[in-house]
Amino acid sequence: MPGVNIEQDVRTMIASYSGITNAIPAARISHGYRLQDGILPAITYELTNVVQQSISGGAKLWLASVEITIIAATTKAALDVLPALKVACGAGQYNIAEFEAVIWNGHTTSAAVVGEGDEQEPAEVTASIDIYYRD
Amino acid sequence: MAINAALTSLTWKGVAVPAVGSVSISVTRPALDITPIGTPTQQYIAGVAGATATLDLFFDEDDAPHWTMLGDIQTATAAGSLVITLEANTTVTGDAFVTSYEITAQAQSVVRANVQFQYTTAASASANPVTIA
Repeated sequence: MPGVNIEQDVRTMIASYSGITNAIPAARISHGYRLQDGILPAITYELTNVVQQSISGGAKLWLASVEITIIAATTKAALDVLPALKVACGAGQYNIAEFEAVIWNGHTTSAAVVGEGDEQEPAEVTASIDIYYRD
Repeated sequence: MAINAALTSLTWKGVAVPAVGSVSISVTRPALDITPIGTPTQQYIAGVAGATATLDLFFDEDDAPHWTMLGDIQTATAAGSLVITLEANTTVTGDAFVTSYEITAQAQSVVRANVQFQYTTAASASANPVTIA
């Protein structure tokens, strides 16, 4: 299956579920980068590892480890999006790649931080998923 | 020269088997102990050769050969051709029975299947349990 762009396909998976885009417009879903003064809530994601799993000929099975971060002004606002993200992360055909299995490994929560002056860090909920797909 | 572990192909009964995580082949000929009673040292003769193979699969019901192997063990079908092509012109070929099919599902992983084969020597084949060429 030539032409698989797993980074793009992960974004398609997240943005194709209306439960996500109702809360966070697709324009605010980005690969690993977000403007500091961008509108919240937002989602960033990055692929931490992509490794080949199968050795047999033809289409190979790959495993992509992905971290998806929901960024919001408050912890509650970030956690409110989490159930929709769990639903969004499912098996299916996204662009070219078919995600055969999507495994939800869990999530971590970082509360918002308010420092001295006007400095503030938003809350973040980071989910870890594994995606099995064929090339 | 090293060989890339990515198989050129692996076929069971002529059909390519997808989603193989690993494969191993074991060819053995255990020596037979013929030491007479009272002899101070052990004596052996060459024993009987045999071969087994083990596949670790990422089990998928959509992959027909995965079902075929499971069906073979449940219905006691005749030995089939198992051909493992490590690279072009390097193959391990033989007739084998499926002797074990173990499916495992555990948290934070996909379903895996471990399949074991016992090679047998076909009547029309050479005396070797497998042909490595």
